[in-house]
Amino acid sequence: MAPVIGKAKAAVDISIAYLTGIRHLFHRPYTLRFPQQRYAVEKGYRGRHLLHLDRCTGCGICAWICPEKCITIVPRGQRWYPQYFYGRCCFCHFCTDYCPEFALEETVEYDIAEYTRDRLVWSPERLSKPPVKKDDKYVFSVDTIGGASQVPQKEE
Amino acid sequence: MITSPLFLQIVLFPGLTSIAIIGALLGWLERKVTARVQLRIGPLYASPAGGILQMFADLIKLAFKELIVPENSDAFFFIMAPTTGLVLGAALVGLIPFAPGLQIANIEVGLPAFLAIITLSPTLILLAGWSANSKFPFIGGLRALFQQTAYEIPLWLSALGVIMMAGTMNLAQIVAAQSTGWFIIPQALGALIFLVTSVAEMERLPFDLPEAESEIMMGWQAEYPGVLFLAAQGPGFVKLYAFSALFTTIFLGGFLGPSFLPPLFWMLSKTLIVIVLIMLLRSTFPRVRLDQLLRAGWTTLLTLAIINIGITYILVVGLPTL
Repeated sequence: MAPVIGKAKAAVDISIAYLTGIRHLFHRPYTLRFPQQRYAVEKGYRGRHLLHLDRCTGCGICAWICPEKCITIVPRGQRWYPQYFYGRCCFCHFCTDYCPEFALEETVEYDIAEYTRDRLVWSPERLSKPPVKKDDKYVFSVDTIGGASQVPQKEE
Repeated sequence: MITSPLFLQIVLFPGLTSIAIIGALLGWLERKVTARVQLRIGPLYASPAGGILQMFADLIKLAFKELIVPENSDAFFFIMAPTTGLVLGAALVGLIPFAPGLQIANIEVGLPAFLAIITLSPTLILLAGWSANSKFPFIGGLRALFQQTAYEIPLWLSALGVIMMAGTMNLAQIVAAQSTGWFIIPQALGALIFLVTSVAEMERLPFDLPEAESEIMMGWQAEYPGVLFLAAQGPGFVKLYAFSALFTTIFLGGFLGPSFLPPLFWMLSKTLIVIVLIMLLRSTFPRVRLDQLLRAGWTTLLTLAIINIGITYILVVGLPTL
């Protein structure tokens, strides 16, 4: 009798696997088409830095605390500002935490890949530009059971 | 002669042009179905409509590749085997009635003729594997021979049930015999056996031992370059189309359906559903071992097929009086 029960159980298992396949056909995919659709990032996400040129005093604490030593203090006229090399930055944001003048800020921009290495050096002027606001209707979340779904974005 | 209906049927539909286009589209459909089962998107960028031109792009890529015939191979059989397979696959479609009158060859022995053409394919695959003069193709060819020979007998026996129910071997008349009820209900066991064995005949997962990518690197297709690889891959899709159409014809009522839509629509939509169900097997089940496959074919499926014939006898003739 045991082999018959084993065969019946195998048949049930096979049908469950097959029905799962059929169910998946009507399921939304989890894949995002990245440049057009992007992940919704949580508040407090540590992306690239935003530098407020008016608040920065050029004290150099950010460059001193940086564990990767990716910050260089460069002169701009009479003042000094940090310059980031993102090829080495680990996005720990110690610099943001340690800045006594709150001149640094974390943004949610994470797609900062470049074709050449020297383009990864961000000058103070480039750091001071706020990230371009991406089109809200393309923000998705994959944290749901139903596959990738659109997230309603709050007005800021 | 150009405008005669038979000529148009052979050249356009259900003949060669439509077989080529449907074969290419099935390649796209297979990738798309597999992707959706794995919760991916699949081919996307090759056309505005969900990458539907992806297989044509692949086709162009393969057509421009260099044609390399291995040095110590038997060049004649190496080239002849896959191209003949393609022709045989196309010949299968000619036997299927797609609508009343829309059938290239309406012969009295349509169902046995279909299965007889299928019987030729393991020979060609063994020939292809042997002529390449290489290890993996030869192993793949032998596996195809084992597998397809073992599964042909249950295939024929499961089709025998339908012939007993309909009382004819003509496919158009088998469809006409189903106007009172589809044969899948009295022949449920036979339909299951037919589906399993036809998947094995098509060398599709979970029975794709002759071309097992992860074990023997596409098996008998391993040495084929460019256009010949296309010719080696093509019969698989054409056979999938032909077998699904045959399954629809003998079990699902063929072109029969409510009359507010043309018979061709019912035929093609039923065929498409069967194709998708067969493709789902690929993405849900792992490959079986050769010994498991052969044991299942020679013992379980053969026994079930014979039991099915007994059930059909009782259904048609009634209980035997002793």
